Amino acid sequence: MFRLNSRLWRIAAFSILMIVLLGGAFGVHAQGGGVLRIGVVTPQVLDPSQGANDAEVLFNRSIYDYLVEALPDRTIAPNLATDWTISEDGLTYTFNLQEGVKFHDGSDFSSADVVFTFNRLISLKSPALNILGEFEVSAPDAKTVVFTLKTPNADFLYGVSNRFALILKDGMENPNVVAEGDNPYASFNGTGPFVLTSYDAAAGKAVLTKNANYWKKDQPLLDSVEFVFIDDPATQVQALRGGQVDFIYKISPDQVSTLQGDSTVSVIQKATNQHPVIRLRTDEGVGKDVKVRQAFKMATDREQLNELVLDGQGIIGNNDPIGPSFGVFYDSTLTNPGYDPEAAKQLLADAGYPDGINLTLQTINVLGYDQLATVLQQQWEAAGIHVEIQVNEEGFYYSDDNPNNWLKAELGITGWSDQPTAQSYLVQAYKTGGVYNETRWSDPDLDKLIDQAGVTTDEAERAKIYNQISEIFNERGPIIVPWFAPIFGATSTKVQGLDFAPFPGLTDLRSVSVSA
Amino acid sequence: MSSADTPLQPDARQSSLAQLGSGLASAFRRLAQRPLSLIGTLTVILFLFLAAFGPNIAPYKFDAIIRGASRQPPTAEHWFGTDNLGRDVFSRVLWGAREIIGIPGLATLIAVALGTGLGLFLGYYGGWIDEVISRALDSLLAIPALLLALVMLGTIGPSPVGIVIVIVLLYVPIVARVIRSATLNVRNAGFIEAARLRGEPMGYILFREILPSVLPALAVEAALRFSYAIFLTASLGFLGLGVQPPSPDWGRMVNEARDAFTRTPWALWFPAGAIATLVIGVNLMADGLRRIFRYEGNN
Repeated sequence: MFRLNSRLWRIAAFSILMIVLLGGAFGVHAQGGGVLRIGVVTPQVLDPSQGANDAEVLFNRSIYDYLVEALPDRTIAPNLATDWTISEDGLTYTFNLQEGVKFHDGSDFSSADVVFTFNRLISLKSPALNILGEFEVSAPDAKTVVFTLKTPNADFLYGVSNRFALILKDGMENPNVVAEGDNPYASFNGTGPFVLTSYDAAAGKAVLTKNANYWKKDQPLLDSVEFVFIDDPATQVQALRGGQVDFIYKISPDQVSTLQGDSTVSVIQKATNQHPVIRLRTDEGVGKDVKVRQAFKMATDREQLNELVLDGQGIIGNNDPIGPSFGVFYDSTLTNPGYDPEAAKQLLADAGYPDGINLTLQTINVLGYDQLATVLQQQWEAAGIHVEIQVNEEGFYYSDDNPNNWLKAELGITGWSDQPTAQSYLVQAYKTGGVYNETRWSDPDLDKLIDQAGVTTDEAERAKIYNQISEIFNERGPIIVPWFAPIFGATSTKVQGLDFAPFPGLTDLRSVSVSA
Repeated sequence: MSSADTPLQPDARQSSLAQLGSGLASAFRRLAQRPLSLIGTLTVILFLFLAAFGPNIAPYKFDAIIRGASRQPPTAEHWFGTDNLGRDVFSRVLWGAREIIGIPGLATLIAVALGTGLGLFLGYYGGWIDEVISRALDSLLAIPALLLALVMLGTIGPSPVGIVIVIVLLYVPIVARVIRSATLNVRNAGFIEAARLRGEPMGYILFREILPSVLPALAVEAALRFSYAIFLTASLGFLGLGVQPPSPDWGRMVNEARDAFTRTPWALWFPAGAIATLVIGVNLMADGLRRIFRYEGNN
C-alpha cells in the first residue's frame, strides 16, 4: 500500500498538475493581486484631516475609509455607512454603520470613531467645513450616527465624503506620526484596505500591504501598494516609461503625446472642473471698476488659449467656476462677452484709461499656466492692457510668506482643483468674507443667491439659481475662466480596474489589480 | 607725489597704452594661427554680432505669436520651426543672443573689475588683511556656484538685475584669487621696488605697474569667467529662476520646450545648440589666449 504502481502515480501527478494549472489560470485572475507602484510628489502633511493634495489624500485613503463616498461621477455611495435617512426638514441625517469593521490594531469600529472624527474637523477649522456647514454630531448607539444641521445644506453628503473626512480611531489626536521604537506606525490606524508597513522619507518610499481583515469582501485586490516619491513631473513620466512606477496622475498635455506613443503605457483622460481663474482684485486698483473687468474678458481669446496651451483638449469656460461636469447646474446657454480687443479698448477708455493700463500678472509654474500667461500677455496687448509676467513656484505663490501671493496680488492666475460641489467654490472664493475670497468681491445679490442655492434641495430649482449666479459673474464678475481642463493620468498596461477620479487623490485603489 | 615726477607720467601712460595695443594686435594674430582658437574666436565674434544686431535681422519679434502657426517643423519660412505657442524659434534665438551675452557679459565685466582691484590689493598689500579676506573668499568658493546662486536668487527674487548681482558675487572671489596669486609673483620684482622707492602712491603701483604684468592671467580668467557666466545664466533660466516669460532666454527656451520634446524637438535643439556653441567657442578662445600668454591658470 505504500507503493503506488507507476501508472497510478502518473495519473495522480497529472491530476495534481492540472489542478495547479487551472487554479493558476482562474484563481489568480479572480483574486487580482500584484503590487501597484504609484509615482507621487512627496507628501508633506500626513494628518488625514489636513492633508489636502492628491498625494496626501491618495496615501491616506489607502489606510482609512470614508463614511460615504463621492464616486468619480459625483454620485454618493455607501461605505462605512451602509445607508442613511434625511429628515423631512433636511436638518437631521442618520447613518447606519457597517457591521464587523475593525481597525488595523484589531479594535472595533463604532459610532464613537465617527463622532470623534467630525468633531476633530470642527476643532481644526478644516476646509471641509466649507461644504459641511454648521452641524452637531452624536451617537445614539454603537452603530448609529446622527448629524444635526443648523441650516439645510443640499451638499451635506458631499461634505461627509469630502477628502478630509477619513474616519480616525476615537481619541487619536495625532494620527499618522512615525514614532520611535518597535511599532513606529501605530498611529497610522485606520479601517482602510491597506496597512502601512514602512514609511521611509529618506529613501522616498512608503509601502502598504493588503489588510487581510478588510470589511469589504474580496477587496482590496492588490497585495501591496508602494508610493514612490518623485517631485518632478517630467521625472515621473520617465519613471513610468522606464517601468519604475505603474501609475502617475499629473501629466501635462504635452507629455501626453509622448506617452501615447508608448505601447507599455495607457493614458487616462478625465474631464474635470479643474480650472485656472484669471482674476482681478475688486477692492483696490483697476478692478474696482466693472468696465475694466469687462474689458479684460473681451480682451481674452479663449479659443486660442485652449488651442495653444491645452492643445484644444479643454472645455471653454465662461466667467464663473461652475463647469459642465456639474450637469444641470452648468448653464450651457450662457455665452461670454466674446473676443473683441477694440471694444475692450473702448471700455478701458470709458473707465478713464484711454492710454491703457500697466500691471504685473502673477502666475505659477505648473499646469501650463506660465504659457497661459504668455499668450494672455500678447492678447491683452492688443487691447491696451500691458502686463509683465511674474512666474512663481507653485508652493511660493500659495505661501503666506509671499507678499504678492494669490490672495494679495492685484492681477493673477490661480489654479482651482476639482471640487465635489459647485457650492464649495462659491462659498469659499466668491461670497463676501469667504476664506479664499482672493478678489475680495462683495456683491449682495450674489451672496443672497449663494445662500439660497445652499439650502435648495430641489435640483431644478437649484439649477435656476446657479444659472442666475453664472449670469452675474458674466456681467460684473472679476474672474475669467478660460477653460475647464481635463486631467491626464497614465498607467502601465498591466494595471486593471482603475477608475480615475476627477480629483486624482480620491481614486479608489480597492478594485485595482496589477498582472504579473 | 613730488613735482619732479609729474612730467614723466604722460610718457609712461602713452608707452604702456601703445604696448597694450600692439600686444592685443599680436595676440589676435597669434590666436588666429591655431585653427581651434580661430574657430572659437570667430564663433564668439559671430555671437557678439548677433547680440548687437540679432533683433534687427530677426524676421519676427521674440514674443510674437503667429496665429495658426504653432508646432511647425523647420521650413523656409521658419528656419528653426515654431514652438507650441506659434512663436518663431529662429527669431527667439536671435533675440536671445543679446540677453545671454548681455547679462553674463555685464556681470563678468563688473566681477573682473572688482575682482582685479581686490586681487591686486590683497596680493600687494599682504599682511593680516590679506590673510583674513583671502580665507573668507576661499570659504565662499567651497560652496557650489549653482547652489549659492539659487539661494541668493531665491532671496532677492528672480530678475535680470538679480542674476547680474549673483554672478558678480560669485565671481569676484574667484577672479580676486587668481589675480592675487599672479600679483604675488611680481610684487617683489625690481620695477615694483623702484616705484615704491620713488614714493608712488599705491593706486599707481597697483594699476600702472602690476596690472600690465598680470594682464595675461586676467585675459584668460575673464574669458573663462564669461563662458561659465553664460552657462550659469542659461542654467538659471532653465530652472525658471532667471528672467521671466516671454523672454527669449535660451535656458528658459530649453525648459519650455522640454515637455513637448517629442512633438517639437526643434524648439529644444536650436536654443540648446546655441548655448553649447557659444560656451564651446568662448572656451576655445580662452584656451587659445592661455597658450599665447603661456599662462597656466588654476583651472
